Amino acid sequence: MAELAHPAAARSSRNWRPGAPGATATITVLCIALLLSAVASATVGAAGIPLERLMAAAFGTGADTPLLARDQLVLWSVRLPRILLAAIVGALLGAAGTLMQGLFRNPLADPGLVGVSAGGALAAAAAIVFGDRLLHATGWRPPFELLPVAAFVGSLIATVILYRIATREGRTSVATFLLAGLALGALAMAGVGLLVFMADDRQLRDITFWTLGSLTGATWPKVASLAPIVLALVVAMPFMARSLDLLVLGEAEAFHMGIAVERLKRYAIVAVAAATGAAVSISGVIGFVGIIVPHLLRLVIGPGHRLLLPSSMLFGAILLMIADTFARTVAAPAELPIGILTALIGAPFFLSLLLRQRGVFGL
Amino acid sequence: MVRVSQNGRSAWRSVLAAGALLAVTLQGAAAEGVTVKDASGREVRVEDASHIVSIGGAVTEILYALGLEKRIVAIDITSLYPPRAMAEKPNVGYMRALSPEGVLGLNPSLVLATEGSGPKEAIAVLQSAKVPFVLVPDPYSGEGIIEKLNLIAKVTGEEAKGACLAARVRSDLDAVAALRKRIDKPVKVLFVLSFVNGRAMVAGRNTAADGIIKLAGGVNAISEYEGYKPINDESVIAANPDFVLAMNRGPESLTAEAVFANAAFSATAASAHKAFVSMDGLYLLGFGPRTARAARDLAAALYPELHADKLPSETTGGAAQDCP
Amino acid sequence: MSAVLEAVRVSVQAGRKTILDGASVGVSHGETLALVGPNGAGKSTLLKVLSGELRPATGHVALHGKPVASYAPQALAQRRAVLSQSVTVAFPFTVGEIVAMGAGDRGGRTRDAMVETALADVDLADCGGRIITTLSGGEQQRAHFARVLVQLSCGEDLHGPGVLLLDEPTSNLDLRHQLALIAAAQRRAARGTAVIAVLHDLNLAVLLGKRIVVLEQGHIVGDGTPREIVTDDMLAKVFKVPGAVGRVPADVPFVLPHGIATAAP
Repeated sequence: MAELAHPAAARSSRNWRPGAPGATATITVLCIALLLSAVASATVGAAGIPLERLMAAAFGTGADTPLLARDQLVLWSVRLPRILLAAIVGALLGAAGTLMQGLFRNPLADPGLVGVSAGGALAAAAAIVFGDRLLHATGWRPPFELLPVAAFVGSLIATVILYRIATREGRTSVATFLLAGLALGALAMAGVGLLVFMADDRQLRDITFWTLGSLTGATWPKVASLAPIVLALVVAMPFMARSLDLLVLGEAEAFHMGIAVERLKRYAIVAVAAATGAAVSISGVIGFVGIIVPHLLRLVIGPGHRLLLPSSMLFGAILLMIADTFARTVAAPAELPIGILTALIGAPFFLSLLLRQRGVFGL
Repeated sequence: MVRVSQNGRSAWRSVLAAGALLAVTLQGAAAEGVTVKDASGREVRVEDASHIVSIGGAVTEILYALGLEKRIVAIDITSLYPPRAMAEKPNVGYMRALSPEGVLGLNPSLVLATEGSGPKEAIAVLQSAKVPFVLVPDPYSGEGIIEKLNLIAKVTGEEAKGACLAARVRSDLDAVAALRKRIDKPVKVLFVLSFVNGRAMVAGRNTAADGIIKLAGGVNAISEYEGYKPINDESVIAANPDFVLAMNRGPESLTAEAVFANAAFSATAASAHKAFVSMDGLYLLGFGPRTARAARDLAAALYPELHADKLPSETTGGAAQDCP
Repeated sequence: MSAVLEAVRVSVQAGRKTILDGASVGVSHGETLALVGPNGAGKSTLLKVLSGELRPATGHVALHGKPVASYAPQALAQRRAVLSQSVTVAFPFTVGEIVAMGAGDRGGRTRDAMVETALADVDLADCGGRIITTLSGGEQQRAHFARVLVQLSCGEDLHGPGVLLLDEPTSNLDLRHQLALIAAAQRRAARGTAVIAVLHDLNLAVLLGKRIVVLEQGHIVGDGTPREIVTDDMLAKVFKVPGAVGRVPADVPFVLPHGIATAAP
């Protein structure tokens, strides 16, 4: 009972994690880091705008010369949408990874693992191989690009199939979902293999590079198309955070503590599918962000979803923005597929984390 | 069938060899064979060129130009010229996804495949089979075409016709070279292989596109990397091409509107005067008998002020078949 | 006194096996009920049915006179708290964070005070900042008990005395903490909470329960005061342990087994 007199009781709400930064501090630091990496990222690029001209281009000062016009175009129409797109895709991947790990109560769960990305990849490959022919044969002129829409729909279809398989009498078995996801992912990749076999040289290159992920070809309309999904996630997150925390104790415990577990699982699955599908549709398959981001954050701020979810979005955005800055500059004029970069950095890093942590979490 | 069996592993190979032997006996063609060094560096002895599987658009085109179409037993799907070839010859599929059984099953006495055919495993099997397999070199230059022509003429025993055709091609190439000399200021050309979802796959060094751009007196806007790779948006602006070149693939082709709607391409010199050239894929990139004409056509598009003339082979009105 | 939580003739099947067969049991405010029986008798299943987690094939469960299935999970959580047999925590939460989860959306000082009180109640006052997976099994069980106590307190603040369901809450505890847990449950009951606990240790059942209910193969075979229930006869019949009951002071029965019965009676 002496604990009642603990000075912490005087504070508004106690942080039960000694040494961990508070919520405000975490979000503030991440926001500042995001801003700084965005600014740093905006100063480099293959088109090489020196700093003083960059200022002129950014703030529209100086003489109205053709050079300024070019700089402005590079900055505003090419570089900035790309930086923003990288941030958004990173945020989506971070959120999708965190949500899926919370849902499966497993720090190794990832949308790439359960066939959601693979479903998107299959649809994208089909669009690459058959898209032109289909549009030509039917005379259909859709008011959108076929590939991203196909990838998004493919991810959603994969999720719906998984959900149907794993749900019986209104109850979704997480274990079945995971296993079915592995099988579905393998099936989808076999489908991609078949399409690779049918593809000609040009399509083959497109499929290969698409499955390695890239943010090249970023435009404001692409940024705008993803923004609503990010906003929806940001709005939905606080409602899911506590439920996901309780889910960590198990489905029965979560129910005992007042969570409508089936509804939570449905919402979380929809959120994961939307976030993954949107990211895949724009950037192709980018691995490891969804695993590494929440894992690293948990080490610092703990596993509570109220803080972990928004932090994952911010940290995912920072990480992908930095990775993409390398992807678009190191191999210039060519693009280094960013999926290669994230896997090259991510996989060994993740392995070392596993080796260090396995004693503690029994992984 | 004097080639020494290398390790005679499988029985079916012997069966095929026996079949080929039978074919030779029946045809009774070329008694004395030739030995050539092919693109893989192997010495290949060819005794009988009466039943040829032709793999690669340029190889098929050259065989037709030499008037050897009757000897072709099958082609591949890149053999788009002359157009009638596709209708009249059986097909072994895509040159990069060959099946050894599919090729040898046609009972050829000779397989001519262009460099870059694959997959590697299939090529290894074909090379170890008893049917002579000649890999035709495919360097992206004028000399390369002559080299290709000479090799094919030699293995088919049509050296006289080959020399005639080679001379024509050479005079055409010389005419294009003369045209190049008249260029004051070379233009920069960016070749776009594909443009999917705003991502451009662009030709670098050591590509057929790079070769034809040079032959037409242009400069490839991208020389920093080899092969076809997805390009960085800003690099398109930095490269600032004067022309964008693409393959014409019929109604599905890339259009100037689509390319220049992209922010990066819209910032290039090419965009200012909508400088977009689209040409038939095999014609442009095949490096066969028609390549000098393709280079001339491209040069005419890049340098309209030069008023590129007809080439010698066109003025004499002669197709290659007219060679004695 | 009318029952606050009541199961009426509930049956549960698992495949072809009948786990509960027309079992009826109820508990009133301030009452402590110990649920005993041999392994596989259906004790945990009955608790799951009572908690609303499991829907019975036949029969029904009523909480405050209304079907338990008609409550939304949140409303249910405010009226009854459940401590499961074992809980695995998937992520490295601290003890304090886990216990605070019991407080629902409530934040601020009252929550902190509740968490600290509950931690002190389970003798983990200094462990609030430790990662729960680094605790021993018994300590983890106590931490989860503290979480359940917080949930109960929050609910009782809103709706008055609630129901506390405990499934083998002492399975990992040492003697002192077993007694402390029984005492904590009794303190709650004294303030009106209805307590049902599945217990294996008959002596603890006697210590806790004003009433003891005996389950055997899905049937309720005994329901009464410890004195009525814990008899040589019942022990021999249900648990197959003969002549183990002694009685010390004031007719409180205790069980001191001498050995097990070799043949069924």
